[in-house]
Amino acid sequence: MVNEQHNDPLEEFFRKKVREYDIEYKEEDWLKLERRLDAADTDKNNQSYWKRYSAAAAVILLFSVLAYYTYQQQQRIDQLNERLSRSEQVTNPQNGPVVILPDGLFDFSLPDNPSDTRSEERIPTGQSLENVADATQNNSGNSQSDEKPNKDLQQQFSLPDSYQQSVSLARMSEPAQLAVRDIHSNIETPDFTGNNLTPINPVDRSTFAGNALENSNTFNVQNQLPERQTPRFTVGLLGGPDISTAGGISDFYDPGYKIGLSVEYNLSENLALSVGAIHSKVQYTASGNDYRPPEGYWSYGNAPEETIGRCFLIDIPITLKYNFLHFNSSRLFASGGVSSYIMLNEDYRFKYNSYAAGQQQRWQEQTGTRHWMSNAVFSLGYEMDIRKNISLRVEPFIKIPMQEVGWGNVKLYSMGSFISVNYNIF
Amino acid sequence: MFYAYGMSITLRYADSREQAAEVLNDAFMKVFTNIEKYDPDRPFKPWLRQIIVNTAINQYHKNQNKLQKTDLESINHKPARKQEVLSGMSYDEIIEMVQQLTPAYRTVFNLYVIEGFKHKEIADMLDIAVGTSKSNLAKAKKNLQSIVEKNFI
Repeated sequence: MVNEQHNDPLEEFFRKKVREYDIEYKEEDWLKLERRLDAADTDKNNQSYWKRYSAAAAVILLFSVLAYYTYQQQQRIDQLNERLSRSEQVTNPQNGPVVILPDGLFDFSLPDNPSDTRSEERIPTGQSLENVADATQNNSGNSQSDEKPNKDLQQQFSLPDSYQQSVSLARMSEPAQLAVRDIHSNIETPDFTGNNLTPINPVDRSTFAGNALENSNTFNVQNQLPERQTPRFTVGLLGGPDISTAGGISDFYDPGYKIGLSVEYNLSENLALSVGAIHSKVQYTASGNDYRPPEGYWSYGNAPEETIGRCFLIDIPITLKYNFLHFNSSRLFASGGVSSYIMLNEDYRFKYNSYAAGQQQRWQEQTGTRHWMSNAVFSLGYEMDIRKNISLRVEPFIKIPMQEVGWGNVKLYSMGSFISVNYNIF
Repeated sequence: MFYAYGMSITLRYADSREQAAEVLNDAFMKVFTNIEKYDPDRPFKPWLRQIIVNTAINQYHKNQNKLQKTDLESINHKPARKQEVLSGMSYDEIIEMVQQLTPAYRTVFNLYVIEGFKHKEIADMLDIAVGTSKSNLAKAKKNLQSIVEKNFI
């Protein structure tokens, strides 16, 4: 630091004299320092516990909300099923009650009492459904015509997409059909007795006349449903806030943002591979230890106490998404994968606790550096269908560093939530 | 060992021993709480010195509004025997003289004469003009001479 010749005798005298110090140690000074160090240590521990408890509480809260929501949805589904089950218990005037079970099964329960007045119409074990239907048809006062061929009633009918099922009915009596129609009136059940029927696949008669039916008097409608066709590709427009920090999940700075596109390839109904390109503004603060520019940038002893980073980057996430819980028109999913960062612009401002010569105040550059697979990304999300091919997603995420990124070589943690609109293209 | 070294620095920047001990206390707190930033491959003393000087400058900024300017301009200058008197002064007397300077003069004097900073660097550190730094140094030296002549000659 001595950079100039100081030839002044007075200056030279003072320089020489101040080196000849002989200062007596005072225990009191050390005790004061010791007390401050103990207090600082206590504060640090308290802060550390607080951070841990906060992180644990946040995770517990997140899972509690998800669990509660899932539980509520399940309760709702159970209640609907129960109501459906109750309301669909229709009494067949000729053959006894026809019950649509909660799982979609039609149950033609037969009286066990042989003395029942309808015992003559009881279906012996082994009798085919066709015969059941025939008997029903013949005894129905509402049948359109005795001569009407049974095949008219052997057609299948598809329910609207909202129900996402098709129902095959065969030779049911009109009261039973009306009952079913009444039950499903809110989902626009087609007119079973009219001419505007929508036939789909031919009835597999063996289903109705098979051994299973012979043994149980029950036939499964749900098994006849065609599988929902899963779209292969989905594109999404997404955006949301980004909260980032360096070195650990604490000391958050002002939020940034993420906005971009994603393309998803559906491997199966529940599993999809997704790739995105997301323009991100990341803002964070880093303590002196968490920010490490190239060797030699700081002059000795002049590392800043805090660095404020404002970076623009392209985030390229590659993730696998799994739908783990389905509802009527929505689902919960989890995803995991890796993110790569391409740094576009990096701007760092340095803050010091004390003044010194030669302190760097700011570093800013358009770097363009690439950090492949620098972060692991995990998310939980909720997807809701808002149109036939359009869905809305809310997806909280966390990105955990696997490598250091940027000019300052920081371990960048990011959290936030994507809100996305997704379109099934084909 | 480092206590005496640290006090030898803070005493030059402070008004009193108590204030010097406080500054040193602050400096050691920084050292202990930032010890992970210390590079063991490099000597410890320069790092410690940098922290102590920085802490002293921070203290100067804090006390900037409380400065009590000592009127030393009116001290009568007495010639001769200066060198002889100076050479016989003890360390404590030297420090006492420095502490009689105003904080502004004292800080510039220490940074320039003892630490070896340039006026431009001092101006940046203290947030003053380069001319002010030069002026303060000149006045500090003049006042020291006056103190010597007043008290020891």
